[in-house]
Amino acid sequence: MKNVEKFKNKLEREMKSGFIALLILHIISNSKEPIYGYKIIQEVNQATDGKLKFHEGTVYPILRYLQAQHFMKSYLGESPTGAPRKYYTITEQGKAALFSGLESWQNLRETLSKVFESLEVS
Amino acid sequence: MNKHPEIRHYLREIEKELSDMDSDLKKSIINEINEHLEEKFHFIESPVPDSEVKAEDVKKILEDFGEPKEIASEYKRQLLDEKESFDKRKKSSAKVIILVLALLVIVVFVIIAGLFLLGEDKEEADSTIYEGLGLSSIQIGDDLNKVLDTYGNPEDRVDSGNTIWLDYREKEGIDFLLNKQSEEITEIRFNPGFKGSLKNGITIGSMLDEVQNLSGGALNSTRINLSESHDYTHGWDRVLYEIVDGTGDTVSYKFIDAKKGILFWFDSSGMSTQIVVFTPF
Repeated sequence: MKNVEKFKNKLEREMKSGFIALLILHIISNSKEPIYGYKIIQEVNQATDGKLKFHEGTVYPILRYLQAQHFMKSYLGESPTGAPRKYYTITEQGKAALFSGLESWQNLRETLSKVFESLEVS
Repeated sequence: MNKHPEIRHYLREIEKELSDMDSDLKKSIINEINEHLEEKFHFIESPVPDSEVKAEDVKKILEDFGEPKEIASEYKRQLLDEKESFDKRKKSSAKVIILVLALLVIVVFVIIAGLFLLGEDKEEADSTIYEGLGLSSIQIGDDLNKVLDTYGNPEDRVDSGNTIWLDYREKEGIDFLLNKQSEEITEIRFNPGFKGSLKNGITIGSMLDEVQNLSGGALNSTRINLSESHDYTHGWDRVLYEIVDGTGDTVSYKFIDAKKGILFWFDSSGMSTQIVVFTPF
């Protein structure tokens, strides 16, 4: 059973990571103003009604990855807490990545639905 | 660094987990996490002084953020993806650079080869003297502009009587005679320095015997004593003139083959010093 638990954790981690990356791009893309890390996490929670369980700390490595891929740009701006905040905006490449990711997600969802339609999860 | 000891401890734990990472990157990650935690504290701290921040709040914030090991592992995983992507881009860039360099080498090679071949063609084309014609690039009957376009400004120009003389002997080993009225070439003269020959191999420096043999020999020969006459009109069809001075010593030779439109000047030793091409008659 330990293996099953490990498998489930691994699966969830991998699926979440991809999904959160896509969600981050979606949130930044739809944000009317530059958005910072903490706010992004709040928006992810809000968008998923808190149903997507994830540790906040896992979002920052994803933000770094997306920025390294030139999907986002960042700059340091003012913050009421004193320390400067890192604000993010999406790039054209990021928009293309979001569109492409959503397409993949759609295809994957359809494929999985077909494959697993006969299975019922209790 | 953060003012809460629990947070500082937490950050140190993450730092330990990232011990194999570049120190600048590690520092940047710790700052990033600290900023987030500060942000969260700001929201819960606002209404209460530091001393009254509950230990449960700190615990909750850290729990929400994740275990140091998990966070460090996620950073490593994402940064590894980034590194792999960077490495791929680097490799891809290297491939592109190699390809571009290879193409560049090919292009340069093709250009050099082209220039070389063109040069060879040009040299071959411009180095063959055609009897009665000249060179393939410039011939009897071509006009002044053609000469100037081909060779540029002459080293010397003399307008005399009905003739224009254009001198390119130093650079090209060639000079031209043109009719002043029509401005058309009437004679092309090849001198020492001209790197070329007739198709039969005769060139500047060829010997009189060789020229005679290859031309079928003189049909007539005559001797001109410069102290008596400068009249070379003793025939045109394969006539050999021997020019002597007042003492009877040979000064030069001239062999003319008017039917082919060519004549040769030789020095006293019988070595060709000039080849002249003109319209055959």
